[in-house]
Amino acid sequence: MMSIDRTTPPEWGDIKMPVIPTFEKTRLQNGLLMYTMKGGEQPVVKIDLVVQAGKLRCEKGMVASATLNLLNEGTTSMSSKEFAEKLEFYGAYMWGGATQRAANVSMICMQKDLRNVLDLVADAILHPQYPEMELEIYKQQKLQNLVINKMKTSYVATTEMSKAVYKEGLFTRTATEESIKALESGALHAFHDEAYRSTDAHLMVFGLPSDDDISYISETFGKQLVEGEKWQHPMPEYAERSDRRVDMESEQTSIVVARPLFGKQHPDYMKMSVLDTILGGYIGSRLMQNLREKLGLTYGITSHISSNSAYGTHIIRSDIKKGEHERALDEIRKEMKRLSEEIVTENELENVRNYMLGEVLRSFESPIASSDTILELLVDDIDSNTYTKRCYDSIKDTTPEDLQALAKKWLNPDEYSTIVVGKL
Amino acid sequence: MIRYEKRQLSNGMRVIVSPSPLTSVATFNILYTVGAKNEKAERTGFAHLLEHLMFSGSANISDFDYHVQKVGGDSNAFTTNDFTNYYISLPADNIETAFWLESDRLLSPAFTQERLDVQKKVVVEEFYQHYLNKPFGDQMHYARSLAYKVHPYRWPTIGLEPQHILDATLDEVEKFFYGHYTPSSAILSIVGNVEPERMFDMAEKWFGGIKRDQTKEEIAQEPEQVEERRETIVKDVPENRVMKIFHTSGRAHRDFYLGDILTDILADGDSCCFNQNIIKGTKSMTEVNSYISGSVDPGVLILSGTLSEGTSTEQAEAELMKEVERIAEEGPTEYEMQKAINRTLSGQMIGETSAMQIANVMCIDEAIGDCGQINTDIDKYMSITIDEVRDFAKRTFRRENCSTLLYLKEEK
Repeated sequence: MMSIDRTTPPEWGDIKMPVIPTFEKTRLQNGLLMYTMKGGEQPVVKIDLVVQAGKLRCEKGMVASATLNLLNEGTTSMSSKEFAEKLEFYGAYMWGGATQRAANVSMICMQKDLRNVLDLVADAILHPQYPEMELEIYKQQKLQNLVINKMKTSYVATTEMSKAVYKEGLFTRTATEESIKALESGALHAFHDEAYRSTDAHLMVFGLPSDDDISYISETFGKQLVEGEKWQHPMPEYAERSDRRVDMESEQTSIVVARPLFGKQHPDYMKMSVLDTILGGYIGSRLMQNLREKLGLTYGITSHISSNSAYGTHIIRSDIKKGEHERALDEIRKEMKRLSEEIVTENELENVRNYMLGEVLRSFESPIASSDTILELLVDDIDSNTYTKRCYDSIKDTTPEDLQALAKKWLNPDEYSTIVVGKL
Repeated sequence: MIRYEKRQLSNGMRVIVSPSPLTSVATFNILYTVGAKNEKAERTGFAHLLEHLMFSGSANISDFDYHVQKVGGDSNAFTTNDFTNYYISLPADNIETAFWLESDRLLSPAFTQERLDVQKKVVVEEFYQHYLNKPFGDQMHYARSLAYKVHPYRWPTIGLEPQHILDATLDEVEKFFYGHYTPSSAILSIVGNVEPERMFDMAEKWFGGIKRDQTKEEIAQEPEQVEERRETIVKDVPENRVMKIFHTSGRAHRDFYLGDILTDILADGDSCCFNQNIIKGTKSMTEVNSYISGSVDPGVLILSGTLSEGTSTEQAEAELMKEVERIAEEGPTEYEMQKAINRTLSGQMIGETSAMQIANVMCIDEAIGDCGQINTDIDKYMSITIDEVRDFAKRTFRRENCSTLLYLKEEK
């Protein structure tokens, strides 16, 4: 048996800046920007169309998500069943996702089927039918989900959080029975006309398409979308800090501590992310070590900055052992204060720094992971090259003094709202 | 096609390396062939509790996570009824740190009473968060207890009840660990920008000296079910659900592939028959699902549905059975078969992209037979015939092979 020294860690090296894959940027005949990133080992093609069709764009609640989710329920020339049969026979997938500001419609298929699948998907994106029966079923499903969600403390805490952070209006809207019942196809068509036909969008192609495929994709989206005005994102108005309590039957208590913060372009954003990670952004975080590993009050507690490029919120949340929420809130406040009162050690900072640099590297670990990361930034109008470089450098440059200054500036517990939902 | 090399160390541990030069990270995945099925009936949830304790440090390393993070890594674990799986994802250049960490905690983890006491509390909170503090969170508890009477699959990995976790002692923890976590119960896979020979050398260096035998134990096998079972649960939930559970084979048997394709035909995608004939046809249910458990020992095939307002449970059950009986009598149509196979084929091409997933699947495949299955499974699916699926349906969807769970809302 070889004798080895187990007490000394093996040698290891600095975490490098990821190699960001190159992509081509082409302007199509109608002005739409198409990004093409060739890569991957499998003969598949993935296409994402990002349109300015997020929830904030629509006055009526639930309309934006229904408009997106029912795109594949039939087109002006195909029933819902026909569409599903054709798409699925090719083994292709189509799905959608939405943030507050944007929506993406995505598809993936084998390269050999690309033309056929793209014809189907483009038809669904551009000419949806929104048939009454499918809309009715969707409404029933949404209503049932809502009833279940309202019985979950964590769901109720999330809805209360938006009321605590934002002034009542567009930003505090949540699903209600009335808004679901009020859904009708006219409103969906109207929203679709406004948000899904415009070149105020991004197109991303990933995988191993042939040159002919690229021309076909350019042709499809370059002709069928029409030049439109750029949509101006609304900015939120923030509410006065508040403490909200909801008493309901439960086995655990959900708590949230939150405040308005800033967007990804704010000068403090990057280093604040380091501070947030120390507080509650990874498994070794202060909150995890204290509330989970020391006190055993919870299975998990996290903090994160939820931001787009222009604005954001800082959110700490957890599901806590019944009856212990006041103690948990005290401990959270204590950890927040400690970051402004005591300087973080170089040792702890080095650890978080390396963990975060590893995360940056992992977000580009494979061609598909890279394309997802690039797309996520693109949705927010952020260039991945400059952003990633800035991210990498800022994490490396952060000092204990920077963190203490940021904690004093942004992490004062008295400026945070608290939400408690459960058996009080 | 996934390229890989496989070796067995002198102590019995299996090592699989899949080099992928296109990335700068690596996934270090270690699977132990121990899970909730190795637990005693009065200490359910034990394997999962132990998984938590494995992050408490080891003889030469006081803080596991600290060293993972220090080299830019991230790590986590999960427990199933069959397996416990640990992974570290880290920059490929720093891979040796993963060998150091994982081998030290296999050699000698640092279990203490204090750590055990805290992790019991944490796991009990996990129990509440995921299973008790939401409607239907405990549905699978009832389903397992109904379908299995003898086999330890009758409880879920979190355990039967929080008290079992609170009752665990330090002595039991050590016994369970040293009896089940051994080189021969370990399968290591490394996927990423690494060189196989170098990995095999490192494996021998860090793990080769660990010698320990696995405790031999018989796991009680489930006798054949001979009569229909039914159970009705009434709780404060907002809707009615039906679940029909049928016994079937384990993951290594050909029936697994037949069941997998059959459940795809029934419930996968928008064009599947449950969606078209039930959700959009009779509208008697708002959600319908079907899947096969794929466990190592004989598993179950499940049909489940959420009832629309006004649908009786009899009607819902009849509609689920109508679809499967059609397949048991006529077999799936050629078109249905082809569609399911096409989706499986493309699903494999599309899904094979994450290193973490590949690393985990290769370990599981190796545990049930051969990690090369990751490449050959697709041929098994392609070779399935209509007659085989019909025959499978006929054998499986028998009344006396069925357990029906009705999970209903209280009448207020």
